[in-house]
Amino acid sequence: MNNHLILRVFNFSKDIQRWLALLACSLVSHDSLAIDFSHQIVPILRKHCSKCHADLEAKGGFSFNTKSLILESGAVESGDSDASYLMELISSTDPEQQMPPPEFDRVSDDELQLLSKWIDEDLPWTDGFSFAKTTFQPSLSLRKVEIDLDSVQHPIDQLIAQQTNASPKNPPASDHEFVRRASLDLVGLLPSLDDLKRFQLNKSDAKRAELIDDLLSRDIDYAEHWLTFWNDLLRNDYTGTGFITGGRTQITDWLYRSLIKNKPYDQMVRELISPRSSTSSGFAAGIEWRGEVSAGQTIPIQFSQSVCQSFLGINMKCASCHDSFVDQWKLSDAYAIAAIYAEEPLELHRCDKPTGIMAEPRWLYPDLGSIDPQANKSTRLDQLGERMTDDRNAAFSRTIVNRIWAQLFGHGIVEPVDAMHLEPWNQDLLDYLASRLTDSDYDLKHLIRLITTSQAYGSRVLPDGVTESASLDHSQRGVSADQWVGPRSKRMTAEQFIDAVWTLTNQAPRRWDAPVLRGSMGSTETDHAVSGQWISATEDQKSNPKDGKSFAFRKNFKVTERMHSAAWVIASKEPWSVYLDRKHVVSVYENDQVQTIPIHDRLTKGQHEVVIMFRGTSDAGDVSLFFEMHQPENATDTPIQSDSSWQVSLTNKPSRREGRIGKINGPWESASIGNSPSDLDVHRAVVQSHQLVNQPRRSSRAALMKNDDLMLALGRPNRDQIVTSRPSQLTMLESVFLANHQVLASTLRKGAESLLASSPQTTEKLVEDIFLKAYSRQPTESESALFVSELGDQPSLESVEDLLWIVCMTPEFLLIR
Amino acid sequence: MTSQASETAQRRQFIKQLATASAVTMGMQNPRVNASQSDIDHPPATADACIHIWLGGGMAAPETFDPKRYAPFEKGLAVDRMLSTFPAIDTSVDNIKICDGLNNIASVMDRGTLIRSAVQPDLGSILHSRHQYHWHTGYIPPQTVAAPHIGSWMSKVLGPTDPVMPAFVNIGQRLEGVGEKEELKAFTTGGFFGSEFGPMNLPFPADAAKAVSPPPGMTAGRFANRDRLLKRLVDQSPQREFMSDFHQQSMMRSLDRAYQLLSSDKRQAFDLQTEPERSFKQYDTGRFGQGCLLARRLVEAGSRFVEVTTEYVPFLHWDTHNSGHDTVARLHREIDRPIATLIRDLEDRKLLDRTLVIIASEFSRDAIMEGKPGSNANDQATFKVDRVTEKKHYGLHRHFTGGTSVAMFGGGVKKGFLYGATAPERPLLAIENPVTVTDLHATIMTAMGISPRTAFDIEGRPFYVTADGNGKAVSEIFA
Repeated sequence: MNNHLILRVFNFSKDIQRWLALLACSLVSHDSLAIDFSHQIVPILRKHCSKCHADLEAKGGFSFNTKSLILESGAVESGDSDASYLMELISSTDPEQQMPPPEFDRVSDDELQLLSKWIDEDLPWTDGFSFAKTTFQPSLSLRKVEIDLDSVQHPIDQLIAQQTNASPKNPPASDHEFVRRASLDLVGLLPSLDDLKRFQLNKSDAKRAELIDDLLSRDIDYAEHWLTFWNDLLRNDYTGTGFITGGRTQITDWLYRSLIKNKPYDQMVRELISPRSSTSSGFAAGIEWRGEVSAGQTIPIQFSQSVCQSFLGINMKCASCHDSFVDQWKLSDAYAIAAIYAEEPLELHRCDKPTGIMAEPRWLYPDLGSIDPQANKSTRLDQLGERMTDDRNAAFSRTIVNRIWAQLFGHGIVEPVDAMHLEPWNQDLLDYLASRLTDSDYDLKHLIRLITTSQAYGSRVLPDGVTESASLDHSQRGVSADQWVGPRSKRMTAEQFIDAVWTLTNQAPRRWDAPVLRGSMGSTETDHAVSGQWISATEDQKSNPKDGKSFAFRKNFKVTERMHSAAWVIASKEPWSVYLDRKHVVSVYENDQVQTIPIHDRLTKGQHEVVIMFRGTSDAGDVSLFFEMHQPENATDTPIQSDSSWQVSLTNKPSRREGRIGKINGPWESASIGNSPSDLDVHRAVVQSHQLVNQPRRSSRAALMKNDDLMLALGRPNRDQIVTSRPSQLTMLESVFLANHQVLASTLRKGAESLLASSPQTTEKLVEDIFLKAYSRQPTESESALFVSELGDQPSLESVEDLLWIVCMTPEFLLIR
Repeated sequence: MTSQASETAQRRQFIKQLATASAVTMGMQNPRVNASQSDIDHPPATADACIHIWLGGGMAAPETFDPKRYAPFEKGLAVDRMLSTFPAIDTSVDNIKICDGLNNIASVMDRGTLIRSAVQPDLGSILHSRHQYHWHTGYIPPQTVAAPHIGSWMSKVLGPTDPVMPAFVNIGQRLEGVGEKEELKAFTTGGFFGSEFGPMNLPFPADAAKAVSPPPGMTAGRFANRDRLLKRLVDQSPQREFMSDFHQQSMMRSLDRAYQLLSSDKRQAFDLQTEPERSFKQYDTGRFGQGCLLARRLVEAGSRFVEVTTEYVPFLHWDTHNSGHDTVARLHREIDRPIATLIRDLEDRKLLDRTLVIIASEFSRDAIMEGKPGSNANDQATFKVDRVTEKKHYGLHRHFTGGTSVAMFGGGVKKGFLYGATAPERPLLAIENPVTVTDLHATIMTAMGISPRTAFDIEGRPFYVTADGNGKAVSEIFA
């Protein structure tokens, strides 16, 4: 861009801001480089032509809403600007002929040059882009959808039939297809031989629905499968960038417990947006890198992007830098959400340059409520949580419904799942499901049950076309209104594949990496006595509260043997933070909290110090504390609990850097025994925590393991960004890993060993068992014959190992159909 | 048609097909070549392959390719008098001197171009991981999408030169069991291109053969039989109607390609045992030397981009926060002969003219200056002394971002050419022709025949091979 142009823009354009954005973002000379349609052409057309020729306007019958409309008009000769009538009109000096008409600003020479280059390059266009605004606009609220309640037909099938004017074309899936699909989709595991048998023997008409109920009632399996989906969506992981400098916090335990309890989705989201403790703060807090970051990646902007993408299917990434060229969102919108989270007043930066305009905390949909810009941060976040999860906010329920549908069907009702401003292929269906979700108080299992008990879900997967054009249309797969094509095949995720191999070979490890207390409370609770005492400061400390000083409690203890599961129960009337060996573990932000914290992953062998800091001294000059450590009953060390052996200090706030605090110098006094606050129930937490750490050890699941090279190759992402879909194709490098990865190979070998070592059986039976476990079906005669003859009467270890590998590499295994 | 012209034509054709190909091979959320780019004008390639020698940890330019006033070790030496701790030596180019210890490299300087004016942004806190991410992807972290490594860009746009080979191989860097491993993984990735275009990681060159061999203990016969049985099983599956399913077909194609590599002669390229003893010894200074040898073999066999590193481990190797002189003297011995051997070897095999070899690091070092003048970065030296009293104080222990050397050989760059300069006295800033990371990438991509404005659409916006498409190649260095 030259100075001449900048001057003209300042003199004549009313739309200076847009131009500044453009100037800053595309500092490229346009002589020799390819045209950038969205940044270079869209603004020109909007500025000069859209009043009369875009959206609903088509003066003179000419609309440039889409590329094909432009070409059809005949005003443009693709590839030849000299021969294009449009260029003649724009460059004309004849007031009778020229465009825009004489009363408007002229198109500048530079703009003219860009337009002719654009035409010469055959009008490059962004796929799916249209200048027409009104083709589709999602309604703010859910539309009321009528269902025939008397019909025997499932509501989903009714709505699909209404749209396609025919029942789903796909025949129902066979029983073995259904049981494998439902099991992998709902709990992420291959059905066991028992599962298969039970399903086969069930003669009830409702056996499929019963299977769904059965799968959904397996809370641990359910949670440990859906953890993958949620970790991707909330960019939570056990390793990754940011942890090294304390710039990132896991939400793993909170997420795990939420899934186990089937916590209502709206409540989950409120706890993520406006956390009550650090256990769910990691999503909103983003990833902090040391040093300076661009204005588009500060923590408040990350918050804006994450909240909008994960919960609303809105891409704020464009609008974090400049007004989006491809959808309705503006820089001020991205900053409005960011400002809700920001501690300090936030200045709008356009393409990393300050604008002098301050952001105002604001909700995206003013018709659905507001945020008080004067309120403090935690109130603003509370309000955002309320606005977001308001039943009237259709975008919220639609987005999660669409994500879950996509998980189960292999494609969304809206695609891509992060572009919820696009038209759903069946709007009634989307809104019906969304209102059922809100009616059920955001019960996700209820939603999954509703979807998976439909005939649509239970129908057969049909093959995709083989031609490239068919697959080019991937984005449209199954979403065309008159061509309902049913569920699509889905590739197993890395986690499903690893779990399946572990199931098949019986080689799942016994340890897991995720810092969670594995298990569910179930219905029976055995009692467990409370042993910790409520402790508080000494009389002297209490009577001499000092401004700016805080209470700290500490206890030293020793670990001589690592434990697979251990927990702390901590309670107080006041907010607190707990540190192990000066490293931050958990903080609670509100009064009257009883918190259970998994701690086994941090309890290495040796001496440890636990310190619990309070924010200050309470009004009464006193704080009291309850603490119990729970560990398996057969553990070596005596568990600690709060008692008079603890020490307390009235101290200056220690320095805190990257999640660590400095040494607290004391003086330390012995803690006093206090009275238990009558309104805080620690008993229940003690019983549950004791029971959880004493649950029988279960085989691990891949979702609970740290990412490794094999899972990475199979598509488990580094969760440095939000991920809402996994790669659908198998790559060559992955295939190399599948062929020779040492860990995989040795798992298959050990699996073969254990199969051969188990009860003596015929080769035929061995092959049958492997097929049943892997494919949930009997081998055909020819399959059986192939492997029986290959393996012989006395199968060698190698031949069984190879059979396992072969079975795991077939598309029938790798795909969920 | 000359071979170069025909290569260019094929490239254009290839790029045109990308819009189709990327959508075919990848799912919905995956990138498509930017709609405006189907006819982008790619420059004619001057190199077919690229070997990137990565001296991670912050190679001090004044101790390697940009010697300054030499200050020999003596007790009481004022640290602010210390610019270089190695004397300068002559090279095969009249106007280029480099540091003593790089004598073999000095003898091949007439084959390449030395850039002395590479500069990095000051990112506030000078972190290796952030600068390494920037150097390898062209973007400063964090980013809203997973940015691909430059090797992945080449893999995506150009593919391997031989279809059996992996396009992008990364030699010598462990991604497990080292500090900052997650930060390393963040840029050692195909990013939004997906793992197809990500690196094949070979941390130990001596073990590379294993990465492309059938599992341990499996004979070739058994390996072939396993593959044959897999195909028979798929062939007689009751799910026969899926034989023509696109998903299934592409899956079988991938498995087959892996089988081809693992059973083909091409995999010999990974096996250093098959290298004649004489040339093996010539390269062998340990892992790094073997990595250079492996890089030569892989490029010869058809890989497009190979990175070889002395390995980044916090506070080790080039990351000298104390004992800088002694450490760098050791590193000179480690890299000098292999790099010179690599250049000569490629030349002897007539590969040098079409192979771009780059030697680089994330930033330079200085004895007293952290970042660059005016920087507010933390002082990272272990010993904050004004005078040298012990050997461990002797060397350059601070990170410097104001002027760094990058050497390039072959692949169309000028021979025996010096570009840019740093000041003779502290601060040792680039005072002539500074080259940013973005422009350096534009230069490398231009040599490979990739326009610096090449972009793919991801999440509805264009993502360019050089930051925001702004990279300008340093045309002066091309022959």
